[in-house]
Amino acid sequence: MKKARIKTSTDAHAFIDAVAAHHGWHVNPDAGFAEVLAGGLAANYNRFGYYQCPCRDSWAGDRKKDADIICPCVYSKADLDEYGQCYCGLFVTAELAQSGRGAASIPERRPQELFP
Amino acid sequence: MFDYIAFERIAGASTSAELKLFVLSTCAFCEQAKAFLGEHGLAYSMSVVDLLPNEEKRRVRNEFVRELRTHLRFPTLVVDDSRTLVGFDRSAWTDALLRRS
Repeated sequence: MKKARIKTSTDAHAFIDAVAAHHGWHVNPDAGFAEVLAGGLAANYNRFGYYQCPCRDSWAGDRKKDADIICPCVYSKADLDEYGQCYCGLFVTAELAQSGRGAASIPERRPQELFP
Repeated sequence: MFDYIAFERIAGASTSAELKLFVLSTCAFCEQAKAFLGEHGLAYSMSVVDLLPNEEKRRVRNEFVRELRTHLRFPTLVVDDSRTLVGFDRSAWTDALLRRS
């Protein structure tokens, strides 16, 4: 049986850049902040087999129940529209990226009943 | 509260409030929260929730709802087993922790 390759932070950065380019978003310009999240995404991929949101508790490998919070989560577009950033602060609008404000925690949009 | 958890104790010069920090090992706002507490010399206890056994995680989530009337989000700081700061907001944490009367 073929063993899944371990994802590194570098792999996660490539994924993050591809997502940002696809959606026309920006990656948080705070490199240290983005690095924590890239490492978190890689860790989650290696634990669960998918890039689960690094800022939310998960169903620990139940891909169907975690489907809405696989990065980019289904809430990210609405969060970028309303707050200029996704829940994690990984993806941001051009305006926020250029403002120098930095990301901050925002309200959770995911319905409570979807959490473990 | 949460006495079944083996918290990591982080030393600090200030122990005026009992602080319990709940984080994920993967979250950047959690790192900012830890840095904030460290910068201000606040002693706290920390639990890395994604690394807990599932049964303990369940107990923690339930205790948040039952005792603190809030859902567990990351990071969350529990102050004196009664108040919660949910999510990291530097301004709100400064007001709540450093400007206490």
